Amino acid sequence: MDKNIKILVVDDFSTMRRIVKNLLGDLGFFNIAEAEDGNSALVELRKAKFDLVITDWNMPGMPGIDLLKAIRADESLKKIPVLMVTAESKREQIIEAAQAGVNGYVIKPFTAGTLADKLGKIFERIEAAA
Amino acid sequence: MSAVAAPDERSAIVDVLQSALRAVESGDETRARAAIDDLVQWRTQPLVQGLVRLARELAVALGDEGRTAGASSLPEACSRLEHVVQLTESSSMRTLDLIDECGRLLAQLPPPQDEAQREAIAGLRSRFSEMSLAQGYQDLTGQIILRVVELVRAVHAGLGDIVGAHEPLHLTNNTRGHGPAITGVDAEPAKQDDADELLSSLGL
Repeated sequence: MDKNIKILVVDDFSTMRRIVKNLLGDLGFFNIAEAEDGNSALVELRKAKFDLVITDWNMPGMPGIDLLKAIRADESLKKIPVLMVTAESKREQIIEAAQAGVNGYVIKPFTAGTLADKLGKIFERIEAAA
Repeated sequence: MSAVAAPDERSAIVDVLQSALRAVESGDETRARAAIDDLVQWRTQPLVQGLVRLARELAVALGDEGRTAGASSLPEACSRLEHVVQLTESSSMRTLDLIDECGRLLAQLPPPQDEAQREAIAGLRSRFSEMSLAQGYQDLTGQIILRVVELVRAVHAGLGDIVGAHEPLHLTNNTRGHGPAITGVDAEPAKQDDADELLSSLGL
């Protein structure tokens, strides 16, 4: 697993962005940028090349599900893996995210193990596809 | 709205209905509409009164008994709730700062001399990581509080023009999400295992 990959963490709560960043740091990932909703995430994504997006769902401005759809609809961004980390826990929502092309779904509150596990799965698939 | 205020409700309704019938028969659309509006008004009056009473009770519950405009305390309630979100955010940030400092202090210790020291340091590190993760409560409680704020704002906006449009009070329905599920209030939420199962059944 390449630890230098560039990751975008999207959440409207600064505490959660920091927590996710801390956990990523524990896992050896330090190349991390932040955005507080889908709109500012898209600005970041168009400014620089990212290898992974970790996003919340419930955010003012553009919610995570719309960000996911926007990423999948954009020719230059559509291959970026997206991990949803969210308190949204309705089955319809998980299905909606899957149909929109999410690569992993972590329900808050989560453990460090769950996050590491889902990240591992995403990287495994990327490596298998490469 | 004389028909609405009439003491004898039954005869008032008969009057309105007859006047509506006459208007329809004579093709007077304006008068027919007015008569029907009278009827609607009569029907919604208890609802409006109920809502106004609710607003007053809410104001009293919020400790605003002395004020004339009961609904004015609703924006204040929102501000209070938003303040709680800010307060928990700054407390969480402070805790996260301290956890970072502990991590740095730990890194300054001389290299562990034996297995027990190594284990103690690793144990501290993993607990700091857990403490950091536990601060996620701020996000979860914040989402719930902000949802209540949205609801209270909708109630306030609805009460503001209650005499005008008969818009039902509701949260804006969009794709924004609902926030964490609350036991006893929301439907049973999916657990991580359910999500995993669901996703793998969808080929993920």
